[in-house]
Amino acid sequence: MNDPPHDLTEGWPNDPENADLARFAEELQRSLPQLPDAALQRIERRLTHEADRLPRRRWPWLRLGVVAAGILLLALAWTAPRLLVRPPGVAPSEDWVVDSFPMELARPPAAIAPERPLVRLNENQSLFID
Amino acid sequence: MASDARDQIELLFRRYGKGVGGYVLTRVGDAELAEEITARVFLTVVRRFDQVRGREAAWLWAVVRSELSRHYRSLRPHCPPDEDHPDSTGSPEEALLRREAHEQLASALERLPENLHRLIYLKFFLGLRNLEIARACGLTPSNVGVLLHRALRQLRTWLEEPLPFHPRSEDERPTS
Repeated sequence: MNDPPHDLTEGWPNDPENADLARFAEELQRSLPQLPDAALQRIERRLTHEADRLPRRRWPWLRLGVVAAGILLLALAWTAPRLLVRPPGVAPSEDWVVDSFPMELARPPAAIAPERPLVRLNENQSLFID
Repeated sequence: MASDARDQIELLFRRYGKGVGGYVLTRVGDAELAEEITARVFLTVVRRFDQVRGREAAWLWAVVRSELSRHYRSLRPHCPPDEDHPDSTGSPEEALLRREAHEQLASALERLPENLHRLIYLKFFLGLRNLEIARACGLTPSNVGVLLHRALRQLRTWLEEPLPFHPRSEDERPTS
């Protein structure tokens, strides 16, 4: 146990059995088993050792990650321009993919004059007179 | 590990190490085993300290319960730990009586509902005040007092009766 609580009966509701219960609580507190001090010291040593070991164990992973990311970036920087841009002075060879084709549009047919007017105004003149 | 985190862990151990050790010893009944489990609890604390968000005592409770569950799951029924490492302090009769008392207490604690069990652990093993327990558990201090009163009455009833069986929660029952 650490420092025993100041008051084991703190906040209890009113109860006629409280005096007996308080004695029981004190007895319980006294009878709780404890690890020997030597055991606690050994645990503290293990804990300290682990806390010392932790940074050394974490740093290699971090370094490895940084190195791997650097290598990837370098590889990307070296290959990306070669993939995206055609080197100057290199003419496209026959084997290259041709993606443009010449095309001729057919001429529209000559306009044909109608044989008769679309609206025969002379014959239907009466429609326009009030 | 950052020095401030390390300082906090050492502080945590100095404050709660003894209480956690006592609780684990009550539960497993064997000093060597209790030392090992308590050490595992605090090694977990070191490795996962960045997970603590306030309420250290409540978080520690979760770690302790987890380590105890792992221990009970790994137990074999034919190989109880207290037979491997008998209590060497005092006479054999005293050791036997002490062991029986601890077994009875462990059994009574396990019979308590989880919330009351945790309150007894925080009050009696870790030595927290009601206000600290209330903060750790998200309760009001008056509620903590009432619940502790109820838990103690229940414990007293069970500890005064002879030990009929040794119940354990499902996940802590030894598996063959």
